[in-house]
Amino acid sequence: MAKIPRDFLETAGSLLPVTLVVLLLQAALGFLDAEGLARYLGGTILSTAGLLLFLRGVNISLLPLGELVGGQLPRVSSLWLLLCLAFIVGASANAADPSLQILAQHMKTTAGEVSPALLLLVVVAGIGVFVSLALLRIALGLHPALLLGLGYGLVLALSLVVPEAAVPIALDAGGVATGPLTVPFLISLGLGFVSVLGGRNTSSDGFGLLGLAALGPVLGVMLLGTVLG
Amino acid sequence: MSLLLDFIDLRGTARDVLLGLAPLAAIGLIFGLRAKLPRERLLALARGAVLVFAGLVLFLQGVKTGFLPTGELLGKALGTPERAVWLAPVGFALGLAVTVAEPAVRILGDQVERATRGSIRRKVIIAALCLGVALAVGLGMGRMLLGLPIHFITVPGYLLALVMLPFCDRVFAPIAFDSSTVATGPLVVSFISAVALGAAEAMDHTDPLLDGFGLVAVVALVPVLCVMAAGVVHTLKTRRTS
Repeated sequence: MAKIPRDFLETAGSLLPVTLVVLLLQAALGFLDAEGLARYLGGTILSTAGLLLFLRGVNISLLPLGELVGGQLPRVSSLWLLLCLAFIVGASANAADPSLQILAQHMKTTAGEVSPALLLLVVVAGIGVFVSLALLRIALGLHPALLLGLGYGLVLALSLVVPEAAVPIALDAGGVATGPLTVPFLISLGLGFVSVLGGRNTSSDGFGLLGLAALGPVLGVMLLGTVLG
Repeated sequence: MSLLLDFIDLRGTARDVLLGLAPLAAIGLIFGLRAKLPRERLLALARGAVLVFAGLVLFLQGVKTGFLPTGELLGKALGTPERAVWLAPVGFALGLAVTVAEPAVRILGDQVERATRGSIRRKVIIAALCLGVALAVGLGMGRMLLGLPIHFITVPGYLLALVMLPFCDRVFAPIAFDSSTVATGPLVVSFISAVALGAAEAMDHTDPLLDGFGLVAVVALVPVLCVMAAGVVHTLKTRRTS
């Protein structure tokens, strides 16, 4: 018997429970016609195959690349250059994330007044700014809980003040932006960065990057909502 | 036949993915060359990049032709007045289904077990997360039905996280906030959001922009609270024994 690769089982398995729920609901509600059902199953197969190839590619190229870039960044001569590079790297990785394209599709369905392109730009820039901030925090050796507490407190406060229509989509943007490409890339970027700086508690210093990066899009979209009223 | 054509026509998706990947590919090229990587490693990076590209195209194509339309149809079917009571239970089931099988959730379980030196078991964290996300999606769908603003869930949630923050050791806060990303995988973002948007569109009293969004945020909050709670329990336990 041919050995089935582990990552195939994991990927296919992660879509299985949802498919079961959808099929049960189909039996109960009959919300799909034959074409719709074929669409769902075909889409599931395509997505499974795609995720599988994608995850292989992440292991071969994205993780080593993140560590390489993270390891090179501390060698940069000036702090400003480091922050600019961190912004560019963080924003570029985020721009490639499939979750952003899904968000753009959702935006089309709601047909809001904000153009999806502008929203995506703000999200990507937000990630860039907060990746810079997170690396700055590591370089300065500040307590990770301090920035996280302040940042999330700020989000909480702003969510009560900014225009109501902007709040749900802004809060969602943080979770959407930290998608399947951004997360592994940023983790390896942080690990590479911390390992070169050395000396400090590497395991705990590497954490906190994602939580902080997720704040960027939230604050960015809230700001956008305020500007546009 | 249009269905088959929809699946096969990858041009639009391929263009979007190519545009999205271009900046990252440029960065990879620049840093790879500057670091004077050996040829084999550069080639490995390029091979991986091709896999990432192909994988993303197929994945997004499947999402666009399969998950999004199905999710929206399901949402619309549930948005009719006589079926709206189903929304919260269906949300619960979908939340459970996406979290149970998510590999990142299991990794987080290990991480927490290690950080608490075994005093909080991996299984406890995983069970808490699955139930938490299921409840969160159920609540999120329920709030849409009642037309309540998202603040009813997020304000208490964020406040709770901030209140717990000073009570746990410094290792927990970064793990907790990082873990906000573990349950908001591509399935939640594409499928569950599409259900919510479809339902919000079908209901008269709702505004898709206000009520269709917000689920991802609620799902992101659950792991933060679970890990933070584990941190508080562990910190109090160790303080008592020492």
